[in-house]
Amino acid sequence: MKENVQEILQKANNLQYNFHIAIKVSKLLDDDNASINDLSKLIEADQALTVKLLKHCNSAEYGFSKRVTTVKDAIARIGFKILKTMIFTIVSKSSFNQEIKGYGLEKGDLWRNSISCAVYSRYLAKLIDYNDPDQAFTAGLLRDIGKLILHEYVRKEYDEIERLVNKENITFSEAEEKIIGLNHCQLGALVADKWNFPQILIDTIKYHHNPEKAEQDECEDMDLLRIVHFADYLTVMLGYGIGKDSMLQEIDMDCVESLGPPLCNENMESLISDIVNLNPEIEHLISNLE
Amino acid sequence: MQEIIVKMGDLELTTKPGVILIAPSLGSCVGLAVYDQKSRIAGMVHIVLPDSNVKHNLNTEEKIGKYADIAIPALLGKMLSLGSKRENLIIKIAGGAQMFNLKGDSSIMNIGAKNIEAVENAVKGMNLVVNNADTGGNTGRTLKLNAFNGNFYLKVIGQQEIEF
Ligand SMILES: [Fe+2]
Repeated sequence: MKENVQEILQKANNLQYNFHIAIKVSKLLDDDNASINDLSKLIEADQALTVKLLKHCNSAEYGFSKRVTTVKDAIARIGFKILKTMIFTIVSKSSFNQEIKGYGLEKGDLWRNSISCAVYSRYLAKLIDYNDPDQAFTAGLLRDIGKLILHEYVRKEYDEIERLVNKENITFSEAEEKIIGLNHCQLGALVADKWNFPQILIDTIKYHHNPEKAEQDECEDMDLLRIVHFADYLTVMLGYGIGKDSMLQEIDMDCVESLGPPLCNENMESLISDIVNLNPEIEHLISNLE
Repeated sequence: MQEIIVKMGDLELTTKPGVILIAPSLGSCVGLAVYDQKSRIAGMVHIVLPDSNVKHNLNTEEKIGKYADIAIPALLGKMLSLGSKRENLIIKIAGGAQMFNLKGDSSIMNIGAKNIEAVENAVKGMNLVVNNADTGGNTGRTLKLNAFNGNFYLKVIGQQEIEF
């Protein structure tokens, strides 16, 4: 089992994803002394990213009457907060928008699922007056990042994992951990740490299926975690790009309800009704990034 | 073949023989497909919630297929008004799944079961019966109906598509 984990981590080390640029941008944005100049220089160094950023800024969603032609101009118009989520969204696409065989996800499924989770997370954050809805968007977007690497192992061991789920009545992630040595949450957190993700994102990745464990570990932003835990559930129940594992997880509604009255029992069906109305926004976002 | 994706809250009715109606990724949602064998009319709804009364003021732009209590009478009523006879209608449903493990006692957690019940009751209320159902459990599904021959198909996530 240990060898397996070593091998997986080795594999993760060798993977080249372009999250580093998003991390750099987000670190710079968190620095109070950052200027638009610094930011645009950093972004412009990546030509593909620049092209996609400008294209996205010029989509109907933002409705700028005058075309955005430079990164500087883009940042000035959309602002720092939106810039951060936009960069994360753009760089995530190339990794998430592919077939993830082990989980039974066809090309586009995990991408759609992640965007949905991001949009739902941001909506829930606003609903409960969480202080940084854009942070919630990013946390929701990236929570399943571990699947990008773990899926090959899940594929090999799928029958065993499924057998264990049924035999021991445990969740898919618990079975993943028992059979492979670690689950997609733990692996995602390790990788995110390696790539210098901010701690708050590492935590949401690590605990998104068991927020109660985070409470024991004294995770610093429990509300964000609860938001992502619930958004993940809503994404699955509403069927957006779900895989074989998706429903074999666990939802902790006591933890969700502790977010406050908007998420109390009586409001749930009404909330789902409102959440479904976000679907056109999800479709827009996906087609704008084509 | 033209595929029409029946998204959450959508209601579709077609008489075009070259069309396949598809309700994809049904989680707790319930898809209902109906076919008139005589006149070859095909219909489908993608239901999200059991009861429209959860909203005190229903948004006028609200989609007609969203709530079981509105969607089923709307779809089946429309077929009957187009001249379909009850004995010619084949009705099949899929979906209404739920999460594997639940902690707490929130009503949201059995939303799938409530959807199934509401759909079955609404069909009964129209003096019709559900001919086949694949519902509940912990798995996502896709429901399809071929308007040309009235064949129904079901795909459970991670499995092969089967005739249903
Ligand atoms: Fe997950």
